[in-house]
Amino acid sequence: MGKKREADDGSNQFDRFLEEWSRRDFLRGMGGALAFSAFMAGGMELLEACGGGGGAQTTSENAVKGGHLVEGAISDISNINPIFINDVPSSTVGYLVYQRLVTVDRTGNLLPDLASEVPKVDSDQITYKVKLRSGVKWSDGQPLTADDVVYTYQLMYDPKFKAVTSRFRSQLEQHLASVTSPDAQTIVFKTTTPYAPFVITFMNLGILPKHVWEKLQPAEVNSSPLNQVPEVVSGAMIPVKWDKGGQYQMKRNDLFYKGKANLDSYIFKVVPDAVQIANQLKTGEIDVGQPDLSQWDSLANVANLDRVSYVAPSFDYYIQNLDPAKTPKAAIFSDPDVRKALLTALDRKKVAEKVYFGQAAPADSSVSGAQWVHVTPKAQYAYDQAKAEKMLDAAGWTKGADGTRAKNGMKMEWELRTNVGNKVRETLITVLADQWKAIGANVTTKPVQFPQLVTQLSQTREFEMILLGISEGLDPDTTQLWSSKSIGSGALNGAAYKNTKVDELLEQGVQTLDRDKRKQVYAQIQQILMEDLPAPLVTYPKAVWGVSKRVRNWNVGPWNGGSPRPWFKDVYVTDGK
Amino acid sequence: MLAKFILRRALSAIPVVVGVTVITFLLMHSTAGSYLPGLALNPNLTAKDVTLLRSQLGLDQPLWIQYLDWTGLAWLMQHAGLGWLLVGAHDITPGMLEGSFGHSMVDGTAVSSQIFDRLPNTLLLTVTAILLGIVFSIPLGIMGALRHGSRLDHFLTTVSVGGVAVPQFWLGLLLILVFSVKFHEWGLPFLPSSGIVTPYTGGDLIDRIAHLVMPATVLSFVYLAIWSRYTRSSMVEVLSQDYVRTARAKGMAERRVTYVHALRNAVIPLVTLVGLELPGLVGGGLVVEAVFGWPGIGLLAFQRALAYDYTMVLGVVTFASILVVIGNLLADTLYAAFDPRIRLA
Amino acid sequence: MIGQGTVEELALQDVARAATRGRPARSYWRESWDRLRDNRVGMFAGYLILILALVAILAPFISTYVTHFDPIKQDLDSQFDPPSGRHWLGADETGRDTLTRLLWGARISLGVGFLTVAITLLAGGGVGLVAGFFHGRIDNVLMRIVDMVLAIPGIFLFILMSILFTPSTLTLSLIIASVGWGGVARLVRGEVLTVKNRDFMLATRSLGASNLRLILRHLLPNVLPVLIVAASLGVGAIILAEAALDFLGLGIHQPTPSWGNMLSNSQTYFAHSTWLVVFPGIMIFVTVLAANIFGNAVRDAFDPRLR
Repeated sequence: MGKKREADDGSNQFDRFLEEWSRRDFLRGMGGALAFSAFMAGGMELLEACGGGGGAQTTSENAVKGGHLVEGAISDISNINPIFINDVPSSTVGYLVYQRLVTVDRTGNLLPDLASEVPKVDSDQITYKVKLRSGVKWSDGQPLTADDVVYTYQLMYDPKFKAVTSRFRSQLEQHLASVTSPDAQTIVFKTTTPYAPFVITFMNLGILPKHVWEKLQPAEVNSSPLNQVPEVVSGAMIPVKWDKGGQYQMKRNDLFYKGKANLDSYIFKVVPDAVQIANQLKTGEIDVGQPDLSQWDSLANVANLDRVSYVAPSFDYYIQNLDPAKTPKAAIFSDPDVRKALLTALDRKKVAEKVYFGQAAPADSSVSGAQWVHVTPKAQYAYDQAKAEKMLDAAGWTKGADGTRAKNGMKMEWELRTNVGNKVRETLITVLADQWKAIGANVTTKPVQFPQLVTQLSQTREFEMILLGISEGLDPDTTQLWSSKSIGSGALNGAAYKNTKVDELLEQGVQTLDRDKRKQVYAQIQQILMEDLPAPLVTYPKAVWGVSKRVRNWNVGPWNGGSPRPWFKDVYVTDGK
Repeated sequence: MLAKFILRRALSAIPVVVGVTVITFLLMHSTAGSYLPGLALNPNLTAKDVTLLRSQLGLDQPLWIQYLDWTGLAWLMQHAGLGWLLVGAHDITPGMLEGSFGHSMVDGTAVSSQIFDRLPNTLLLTVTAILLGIVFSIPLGIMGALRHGSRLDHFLTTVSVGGVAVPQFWLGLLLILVFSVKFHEWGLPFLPSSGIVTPYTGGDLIDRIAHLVMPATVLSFVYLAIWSRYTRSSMVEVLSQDYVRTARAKGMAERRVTYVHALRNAVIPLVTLVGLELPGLVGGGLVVEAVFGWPGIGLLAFQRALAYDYTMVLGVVTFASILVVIGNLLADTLYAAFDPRIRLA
Repeated sequence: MIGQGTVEELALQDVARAATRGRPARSYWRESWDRLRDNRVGMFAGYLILILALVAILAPFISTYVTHFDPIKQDLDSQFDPPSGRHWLGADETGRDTLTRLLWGARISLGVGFLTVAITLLAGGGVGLVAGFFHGRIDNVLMRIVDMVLAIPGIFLFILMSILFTPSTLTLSLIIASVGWGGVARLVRGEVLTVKNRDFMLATRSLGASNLRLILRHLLPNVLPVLIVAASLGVGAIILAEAALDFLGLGIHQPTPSWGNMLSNSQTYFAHSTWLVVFPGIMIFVTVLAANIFGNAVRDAFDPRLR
């Protein structure tokens, strides 16, 4: 594909981008399924940036070798061991250090990494034979073989390593039947049932060096310092030093199988907040970073800086609690016409303009535009306050003397929550509340600390309405969000939405390995969800970057934001310093 | 006797520290519910994952067992044959007996390694702020005292009082805006706006000082306000004492009277005032650390508390409390060393 | 109650001293109060705080009849409007009127300030009085608890308690008070120990006065000056603490305005909407400055050394 575009004014980009999106299916050759690796910015505003289009800086100049690059981010790494990685900074740094079997490019196409080609499933629909690239070495000179791959997966799911607290354990136990290596260059994966997301979810994990990790007892694996500063790596960079809370320094790995990176050094610097990222981009203290949306305009005419923005595969949405056993307010939301009216009452264009400072688009489906399964369903809800009021009248919710609607003695009022620390969302809930007040719903707002919010959504389900952001994963499977199996116990169907047709389709979706057939399944799901609206999507926020003019080939895009960054070795700085 | 005094104080400090751990422990656990520390909203994490991970971290054990486990008492009990008392326990660890505060529940790092890596940063910041406070409050105090009652005196008082009438975060952000962003815009050499050192190219003394200037200054305002006033009123009092009058009457130069005799005596209360601040060294700089991205221990505790990293928060708060207690002990000892009456109390 | 009978004993000493200096005898309280009144700057600061408190109480009326805006009603089209005839002090990021929000913000900021002081004085003063008066084991236990609370660096206590409670004027006051009461308790206990063993106390006790009477009628008035000074200086510090909590995300949340959260929210927009930062900043600065000046004036007025 390789669209060559100047990193020019983001807003023009966006309009063109939007048109192109609706006209083309850009995901050709996608050989597998993608999984949700969603990160909600708990307390920090991290836009997981991925997707196609917008702002690629490809240049045909001769790359300058040497020098360093400083990337600014608002939180520090936590654990970069691929079997534990659970947050964006860790996956950003972790990606540069450990290679994986497959990776993706900025438009979401699967690329072979350690695998010599993108694995295809056998005719039995459950066996994957993966051929390892030959000649790959660890940074200590040892060869990377199938043994390393098998060992990594065993750490994650094999019962003898139960003490290792990998977060993939129960999923792998469910989907992975076996992983073996018939010879040093081949690995055979067998899934328990045909599972479309398998390649993109589970072959997308960094591989650990067996000869290092087998020396540790399983329980020691959880707390080893190698989880933060590994010594033996396979990626483009080797860790040098981690100043906790300050910066993470890496240097070039000369044994990287794709060839030596242009940069000598890469530093991941922790910056207090996204506004400071904008400041430091201006002063040059950092070379690249994702500034706060409110600073976008102020970065426009900075001499040493380019701006990049693109629609990220993410969305902000509000979840209505439909379970009458958990809240009496479910009576308000149980009527589908009421749900439609509530969405119609929102002026999402204005919200995108004012609350996101223009760096978002109103949502039009139940997945973001960056997903290859995205369609624009028939049911749409453009802003129409008068229509919304009529719908509510028709549904039997009459306005009382104080302006609040009521029906059968119940007043139309509820509490809308979101997490503390995300400025945009904290403002957004007050705006939504205000717009609903205008049609007679007395909505109060309350930001809640992230841990409590997650507990309320996924465990106790004691809430009335919650606004959240989801950063989508590469696979379009949304079982965790919409399946009736995903209610409570840590899953995300906080609305307690139950639709047997959707459940069936979700099952079908993960078992259908044919791409076109899959797309049809997910198209149906989107149509149904847009009719039912259990948790309507509000906006598709864009990801914004500031990139210093001295940096070249910083090809972030919809699916290559924080990670993965398969183009990283080609990044260089023009002054070589 | 001083030694006995110190010993008595030290012994009575132990229940205090224990009490601190209990309070912190209860506070941390009271709202967590069934939350998993460090959990980001990850739909890949199924219910079974969460339950399993919580169990592996020991979070599904009864609270009192978790507390005993952390202190190491549970392990002791097990080895003394009293393990049967620990109803509902599984996976008891040696806890504090390992000599450390355990491991973070979020990233597995050793709590002690985080504390010892980040504590020096905080100390550097607060000690520098205290030094700045001393260095500036003495001349301010003297000037105010010498021109006691004059307009200069009022002006100086206003400046020092005004410096603490603004929120620290606001002052910090303003300084960053001016000395970092704007100076760069105007082509002047500018101060770095966050962190301890410049990545890659930094690390030398000048670089470190440049990073230290703004946060330490903001923090020092607090001390400056109090201490300059104290020095001033102390100087005023001392200057009116008989022995000063005597020195003047004996014909000593005014300069010498002021700077050699009066100042020395006026500064004594400053010593105790500084001593009073010792306990606050550890946590006092949180806002400044947050504004300037200073990787100190206050910021660590804050971020980990929000992530429900029980062990880390418990470890940091306990450690900080021990430091506070030691600081108090030092302050009391200094005080007692100066004033014999206290020793006998 | 205050200034009569109970401090006559001190007044006697006053008389003795006054006689040697040729001044007419006055009670301690009267004299301190007069000294305070002579401090013009201090009194001005005191009146300023009073006026602000009045404005805070009247905020609903003022916003309805004078400014005609609601503090939380939004108007996205007026986003970032600079000061104008319509919005005298400009509008914020969702078009709400800054002036109205400042008026209502006073209620929270000053409310938290005064309420916290009240709780701190009640709790700290109460504990200090009891501990100092009864001495012995009660004193030991109470002071151990105080030590425990004081050993936790205040900021950590803030954080832990803020996660526990949803922020509101009441809970914030409780949280901030939970950090400050220990210091007041220590202070009061120290004063009580000094006063307790004075002759007049022994005399009154030997006359058969009950413990309660001794504490309330004799001890408390002598300890009051210390409390008053602590209170006046505390208000400023508390308003700043509330602002710091807002900055950390642990304080009052949108859309409810407080000076602290208006200030910390607007930092992001400093470059293009500087007034959003300036006005709440000025309010905080003026209030805290006034509180500090008044507090210092009170301390100077009551300080026996400066007679």
